[in-house]
Amino acid sequence: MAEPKFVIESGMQLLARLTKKPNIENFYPILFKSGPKNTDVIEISNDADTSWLLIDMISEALIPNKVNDSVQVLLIITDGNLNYELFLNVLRSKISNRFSQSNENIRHIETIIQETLSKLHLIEIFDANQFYVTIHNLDNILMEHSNISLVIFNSLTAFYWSEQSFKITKMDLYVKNLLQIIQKFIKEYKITCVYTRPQYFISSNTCEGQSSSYIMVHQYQINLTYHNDDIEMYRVDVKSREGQFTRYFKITDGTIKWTVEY
Amino acid sequence: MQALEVLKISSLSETVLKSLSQNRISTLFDFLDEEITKLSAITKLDISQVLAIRNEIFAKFSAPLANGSSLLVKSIIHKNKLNTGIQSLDTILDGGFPTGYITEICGLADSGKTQLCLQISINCVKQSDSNVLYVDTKGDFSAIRIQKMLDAYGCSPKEMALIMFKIKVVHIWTMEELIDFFKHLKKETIAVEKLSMIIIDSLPCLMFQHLGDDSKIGLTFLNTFVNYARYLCKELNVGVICVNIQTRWVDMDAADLDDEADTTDREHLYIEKKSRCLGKYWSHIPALVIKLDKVHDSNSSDTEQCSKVDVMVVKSNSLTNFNLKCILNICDLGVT
Repeated sequence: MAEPKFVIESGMQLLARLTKKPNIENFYPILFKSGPKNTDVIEISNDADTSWLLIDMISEALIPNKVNDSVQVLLIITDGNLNYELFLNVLRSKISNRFSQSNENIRHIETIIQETLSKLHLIEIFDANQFYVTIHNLDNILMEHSNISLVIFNSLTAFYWSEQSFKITKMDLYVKNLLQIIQKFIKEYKITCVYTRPQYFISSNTCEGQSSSYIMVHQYQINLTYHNDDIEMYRVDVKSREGQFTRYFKITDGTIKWTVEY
Repeated sequence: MQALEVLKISSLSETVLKSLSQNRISTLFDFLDEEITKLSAITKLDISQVLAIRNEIFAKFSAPLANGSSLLVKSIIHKNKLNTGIQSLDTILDGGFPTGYITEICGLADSGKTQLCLQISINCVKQSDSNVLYVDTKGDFSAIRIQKMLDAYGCSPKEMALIMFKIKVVHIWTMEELIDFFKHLKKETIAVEKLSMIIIDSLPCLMFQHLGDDSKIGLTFLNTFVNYARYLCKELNVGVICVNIQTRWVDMDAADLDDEADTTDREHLYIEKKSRCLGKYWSHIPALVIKLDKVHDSNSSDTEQCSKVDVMVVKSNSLTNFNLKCILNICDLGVT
């Protein structure tokens, strides 16, 4: 007879789990339309630098709006390339534009920037050991900061090669194993998860553009490429259960400008 | 992944470690990945003791959580650009090389990469009281070359000595040595005061030793080096500059398309391709990549000791426009 399985959790854990999360839906409609929902997983595979896109996304999630101003974001940085100076500039520019045109301009812009930044949590990771321990520690972090609705891993694959020895784990399997650990917390704490991985990071037996075996966990799959023909433009291909579409953006005056056509 | 022994907790006695090992739980990750009730059954420890061990692992090895507000403080305290002292280069880089990130300087052989690195080292220590760490992997770092450059600037022997003192040189011949050296820098068992920049000239020299290795050990080394480099970038707020080389080949397929084409036409069908070394993994690592391209001037004679070099930004995590260009005049006696 199989042993009965018990899940032991403290009152704090139960409370964090059952607390209603701030709503993240509709925070970035250009790519997610009315989504994403809590517990959705979003993959961004990239050939180009993801800084601009991630910074724009994080800023939109954090800046207070009419629907919800208590959304908190946890940013887990492993590849170290997200430019904080650029993030502060983009955030400042967005807040200035948004609040100087409304009644909110009574509040000082700097105060809003500080309040907005205080809703961002950062973890910088420098090796595989720290990475695994931190992933398991998400349980405590999400319990302590129950308003975190969005967790971003930039990227999920930064320590892959440092972990390989004579037996090499397949790239797809590596991502799948990590997602298995992360998904436990995603479901338990009802958070949305975004992670990036380089475009080349796909097992050799998986055709380019084809969904690999772990795709079932994704609600959105985004592919970011950089085009540099006559004009410099980023191309974003979005695949979701509702269908697929392409959007383009370029950087003008220090901010992202979206277009439907190239 | 680190072994459980590193914890040195009284509840993790030899017997407990042995029981865990028999159940294939020997690393921190194995321990964290296992259910608490199962761990309790294996170790005969109370659930509270198992939880205490888990908490000890988190306290010692989990990365710290910071609040976004700290970014504002950091942006005020830290200098975020390292002026190269070459005006045209600083203009296209919006002030210089970024601190806190890895930068790559790439180009074909003889495009002036080393000369540019030497010039940047000189300028960096000349205009501040900081030090530069120059990691020479080719064994061609020459103090006489630097002395000649400084002499051309009209520096006095005392100024020369001070500048040369502030450029710390280390010779490294393998990836293992490089990793070991960076490990010491991280642990501060080797300390360089007021460090502002680390230059590695060049990385492919070390990586070529692992070319064609089926076990991909070279990539394991490269990833480990990158982890240390990133740590030093962030914690010491330094700029790490890695020299990479470009390879060039002619794509013959295009020329084979039309066998009837005459020689002149054939020449036009050849396509020259260039690519950065170190592979796909490395291509995503640097936050900034600048490419040097020697301008072939038919009017210049071979005896001239100067060459014009196109410098182009090909990747950046902060600049709005890539493909910004400037032309540098790279001479034996300096770069302008």
